[in-house]
Amino acid sequence: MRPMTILESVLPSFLAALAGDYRVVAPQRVGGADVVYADWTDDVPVDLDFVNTVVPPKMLFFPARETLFHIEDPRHATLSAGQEAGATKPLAIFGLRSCDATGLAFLEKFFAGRGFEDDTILARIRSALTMTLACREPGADCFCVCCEAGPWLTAGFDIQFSDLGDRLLADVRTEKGEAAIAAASSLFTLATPEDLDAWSRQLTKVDATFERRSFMAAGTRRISLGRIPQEKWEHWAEDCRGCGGCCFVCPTCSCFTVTDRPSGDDAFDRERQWDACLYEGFTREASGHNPRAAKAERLKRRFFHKMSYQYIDVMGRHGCVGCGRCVATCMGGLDISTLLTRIHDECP
Amino acid sequence: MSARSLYLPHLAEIARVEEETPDTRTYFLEANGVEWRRAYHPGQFVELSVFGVGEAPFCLAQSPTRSDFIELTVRRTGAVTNRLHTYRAGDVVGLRGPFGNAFPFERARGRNLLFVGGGIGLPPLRSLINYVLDHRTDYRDVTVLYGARTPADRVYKNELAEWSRSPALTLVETVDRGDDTWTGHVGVVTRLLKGMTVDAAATLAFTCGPPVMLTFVVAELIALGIAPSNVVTTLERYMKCGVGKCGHCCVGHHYICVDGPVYNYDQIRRLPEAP
Amino acid sequence: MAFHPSTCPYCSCACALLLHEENGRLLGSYPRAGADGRAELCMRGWNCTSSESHPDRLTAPMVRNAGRLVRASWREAVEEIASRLGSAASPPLFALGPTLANEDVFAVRRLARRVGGRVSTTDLSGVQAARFALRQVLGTGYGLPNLETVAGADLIWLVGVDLEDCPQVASRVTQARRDGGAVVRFDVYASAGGDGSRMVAMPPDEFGRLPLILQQAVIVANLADPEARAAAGFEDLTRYWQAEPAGGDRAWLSDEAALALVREFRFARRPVAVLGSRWLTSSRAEENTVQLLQALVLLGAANHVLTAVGEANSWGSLDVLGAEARPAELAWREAGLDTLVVVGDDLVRHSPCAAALTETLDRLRTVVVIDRFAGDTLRFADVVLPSCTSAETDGTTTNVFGAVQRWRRAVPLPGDCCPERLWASRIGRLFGVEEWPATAASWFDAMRYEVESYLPILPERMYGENDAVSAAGDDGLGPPRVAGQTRVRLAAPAGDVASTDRGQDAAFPMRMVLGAHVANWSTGTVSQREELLRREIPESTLAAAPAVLETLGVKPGWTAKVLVPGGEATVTTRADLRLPPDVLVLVPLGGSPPAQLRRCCPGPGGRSVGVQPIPARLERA
Ligand SMILES: Cc1cc2nc3c(=O)[nH]c(=O)nc-3n(C[C@H](O)[C@H](O)[C@H](O)COP(=O)(O)OP(=O)(O)OC[C@H]3O[C@@H](n4cnc5c(N)ncnc54)[C@H](O)[C@@H]3O)c2cc1C
Ligand code: SF4
Ligand code: SF4
Ligand code: SF4
Ligand code: FES
Repeated sequence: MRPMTILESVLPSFLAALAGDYRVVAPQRVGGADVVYADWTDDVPVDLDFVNTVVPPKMLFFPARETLFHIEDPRHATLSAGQEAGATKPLAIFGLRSCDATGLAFLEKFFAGRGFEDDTILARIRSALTMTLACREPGADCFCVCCEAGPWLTAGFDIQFSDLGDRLLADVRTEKGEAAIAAASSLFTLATPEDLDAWSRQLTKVDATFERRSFMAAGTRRISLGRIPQEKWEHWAEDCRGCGGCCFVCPTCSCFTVTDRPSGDDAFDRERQWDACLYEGFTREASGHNPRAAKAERLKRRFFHKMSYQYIDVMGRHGCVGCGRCVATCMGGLDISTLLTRIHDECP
Repeated sequence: MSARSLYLPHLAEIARVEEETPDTRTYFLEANGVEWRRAYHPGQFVELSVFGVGEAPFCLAQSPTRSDFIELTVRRTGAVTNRLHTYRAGDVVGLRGPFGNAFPFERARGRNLLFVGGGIGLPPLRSLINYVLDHRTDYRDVTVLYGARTPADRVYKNELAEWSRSPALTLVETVDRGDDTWTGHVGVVTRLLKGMTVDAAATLAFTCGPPVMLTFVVAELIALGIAPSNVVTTLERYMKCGVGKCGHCCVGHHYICVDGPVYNYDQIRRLPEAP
Repeated sequence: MAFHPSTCPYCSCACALLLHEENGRLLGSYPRAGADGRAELCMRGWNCTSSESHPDRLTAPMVRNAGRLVRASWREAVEEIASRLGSAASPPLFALGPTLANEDVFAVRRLARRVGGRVSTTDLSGVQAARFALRQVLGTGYGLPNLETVAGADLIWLVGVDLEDCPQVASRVTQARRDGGAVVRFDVYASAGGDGSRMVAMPPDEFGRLPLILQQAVIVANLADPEARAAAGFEDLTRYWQAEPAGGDRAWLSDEAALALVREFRFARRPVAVLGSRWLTSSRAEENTVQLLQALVLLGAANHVLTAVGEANSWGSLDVLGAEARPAELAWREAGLDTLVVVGDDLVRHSPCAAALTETLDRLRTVVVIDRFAGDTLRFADVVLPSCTSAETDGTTTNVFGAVQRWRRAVPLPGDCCPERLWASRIGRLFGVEEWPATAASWFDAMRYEVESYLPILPERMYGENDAVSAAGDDGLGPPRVAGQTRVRLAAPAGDVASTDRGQDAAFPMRMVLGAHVANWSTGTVSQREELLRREIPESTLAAAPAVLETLGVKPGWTAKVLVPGGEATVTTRADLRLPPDVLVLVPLGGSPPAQLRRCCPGPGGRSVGVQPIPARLERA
């Protein structure tokens, strides 16, 4: 489909048209300053000026906490679907950032890998309509440009919107996207050559405006080849406070733990919940032995997992999309961007 | 597979419980509804649910060629295992599996097999030993060395007695501390290895047991001339999902629950982290 | 799907967070973006959701019947409590734990007054006492405006701070250091930490002398701040120090070294002093804190002080209870006491002197427990009421900077759970008081008129529709800060501050130590994580300073005998990875350590343990 445009003022009508087939989610401000992905309703303005959300949209597909199934009478075990189960409509996300769309594709690949498909998560991702919003101005922490994950995309979305002032340009790449536009075709007009011009000027301009650059390749090489002295890891890890935040805010982090939690008399929910490899108990075994008892080992682990060739081989790319969230959340300056810079500077 | 089924266990009723040692029991699970009941390989494991408490991994302790039940030998260590030890015949648990790779029993064909087990490390080996006994002509000499802390800590006491009488294999046992009734060897299991002569090139060694024991046993096996790639063990890591998703078992870029738990020492040496 | 801006209940940083709720269930707690672009929470903040479906959650009232606690209707339970309060032989004691909404503290105080009872906090660690000293000396307007001040400091004194305790402070210290700030640690552990900070390592029994040495250095070197010089009492203090110089040989801090330290601090541009858990829980913490504050006032740094303890927040109860907030920890051992109401704390589990405490609890005619979780104290309870978590109620909480912030209800109350204020008003009605506020806002309004520092905070601004939160994540309004308003009275050390050695040490050699408990949080299994999440006050820990142990010939790997209440335990010593290299950890031998010891050694799985000198009690086995 050729690029279309839609007036910003009628965007709500477009989202309303989608609401029949989809559960529409869009970035919204809560409590003043924070932007989150939340159910879109007519009365809440869609925020087009946000940098990004604190928590990535993975929380919609792989929630922080989720019931796998419900258990009654544990010793004799009657199992049933969890309370969140049941047919919900597929998600339509408007305003997904490029980095996060890339992260979502990464998660999809991960949850389909190693011979086992996590159907619940995959179904949510695969049925979703992804409407990305190309960035006009990167935030101070953003470095997607170093990670082949933004600030705009050439693939990996259904529709990519770009803000041209009073209008949005819609770059449609999939049948799902086309169908969505077709459902509200009266709201869209074919992009003019001037629109396309403005669009391409905008895209090339934003690439040059990043304040933050990260040494991804250098990091990958030195981490994969084990070129970083142990003392360095130990020294850096002293600043790790073990909060787990870097894993929770990362659009590509996927670790979880599973527990049975009471949900009534003699009834339980088996739940999965986000977990973090920076937590000491993550690998602690029944004997009390912990192969990653030291903070340095856990930090090393995170970087190996995100950046090494060994993982790139499996996943097709490294595990960072440059969204910069860990930059904002790490208390110790051990986020990917900062630490890769230190690796580059301190470990030739 | 339907949605959720990756994490949804089969229900299995406990048919029988056998006390192995004061803290270890073998559970015989009625597995009529479980389609992979006989279609697993020695070395694989299951995730066992004790509902209301949680799930934990246990190796399939019997050879798929034997038993109408799924057999798990479980030592009491924490939440799941403590609760399980209060379960009796008739209670229901959950099973997911079979997971993981398997012992290289194909590669073992035509070779001498040397098994070295310590304490609760015998169950995974036993599954392979019985498998080998049921295909005895495929293999050459079979030797089993088993060490336990005390005579009371030996698991599968009846089976050990059978093995010791059987011409199909050589069983040598030792205990760290003997008692009045114990007439066998006393000392750590590595001692049994010390004086041994093996046809190193033709031998495949399998060893499971506590980490400290493994360190010494492996050193000894390699000293006997067995190539690290012919020394096979199972890696135990904290595991939650068993299907390569939760990330807990990941070492370097290996998901032990999928790529393992069976590894040889050549592979282990090359892991980017100590296992 | 909804997102509720709220506040983390777990420590006095009171970080702003977003509670993510869906279908009445809490799915996640997320940090909020601050004005500085940071969005941080510590492990506890990230896991705020774990407690509401904990296996030990109390959801119904219980009344003891024929020796057993049995489920009761709220009416039965409330009537039972009222009749027991009404027939108490001596004034009932209401002991309040931390992590209560200000409104709940206020409501319990009101009920206590109504029934002629007394209030106190349950705090056994001494932290509350030390904080009380802080308020006494510096008034409510003291301290730092926010954490960023620490990040921007050019000189930081860490006095008995275990940085593992308070991640947010730790991260700011790291930042300050990275930006070239200097860090001096005063501590009983000689580990320089490898982080470039300078170490003043003192023997444990000299810890308390630090303030006096610093005071003396300021006076003798004539470095006092002009404002402090003008303060009443300064001349006395000067005379005192001139007459009785502390002097003496101190290998750990010579007079010259002390002088250099205070000089550096006095002339730093943005100095900050952080008092941490090891300081605030040391014996005689209250007295020593006053003295240390005096030293800081002399240095012109009254508004540069922060206390950093990673335990549950209890600053609000200082405001609301005033002087009553001082822990009446010995009150329940008083002969006459017959009725105790414990609100929001598992006394038995948290007490470092459990033996003495349980003896008392046994003796009391009535013990009422109002709590979220079924803890060890329940064994002694006659009536139990279930209360609620911060995600289930509206209310305010006051953080270490004096900012009054909002808790917002995100999920419904489970079962019969209620905030304490509701239980208090139900009981209160049976005492003939009809007019109990009905909403959180009206409770707040009522409270304002009795808590001076909250008066300027309008309920509309706290509870109004438009309570948009400022970008800094500062969810409310702090009490007014009057510049230069320090109520300090400088006095010679033995002056008007009485020694408050609480005698606890006599009953039990170990003091509650808050340090290192964050280790307990560091677990990847939610099952363990939530077990620890509910322990809002960390437990006492047992360990020993190696220097002391060395003199007894104890080294890592030795077996030692430790006296614990009601007996002795055999332990083995080892160096622990998590602690500074010169700290030995005592590990109970054998499968099951004596119950008392285990209670004192709450490391993961009851295995590891922390840090406090217990020299005379440790013998070689
Ligand atoms: C592939 C594999 C095969 C195993 N086979 C057997 C067997 O045949 N027989 C047997 O007795 N044991 C076996 N184990 C060990 C067994 O899984 C643990 O003893 C069990 O998980 C303990 O669970 P729990 O709930 O009782 O303890 P918990 O209370 O959960 O745990 C106590 C401690 O163990 C840790 N832990 C929890 N789950 C695991 C886990 N899955 N792996 C390692 N540590 C864990 C916890 O972090 C905690 O520190 C096997 C482990 C693996 C990985
Ligand atoms: S590692 Fe950090 S910057 Fe990279 S994708 Fe994850 S959160 Fe974003
Ligand atoms: S990282 Fe890139 S794509 Fe993501 S928000 Fe920032 S500029 Fe946009
Ligand atoms: S630092 Fe304190 S307030 Fe902040 S998240 Fe952690 S426990 Fe909560
Ligand atoms: S056990 Fe979950 S990834 Fe291996």
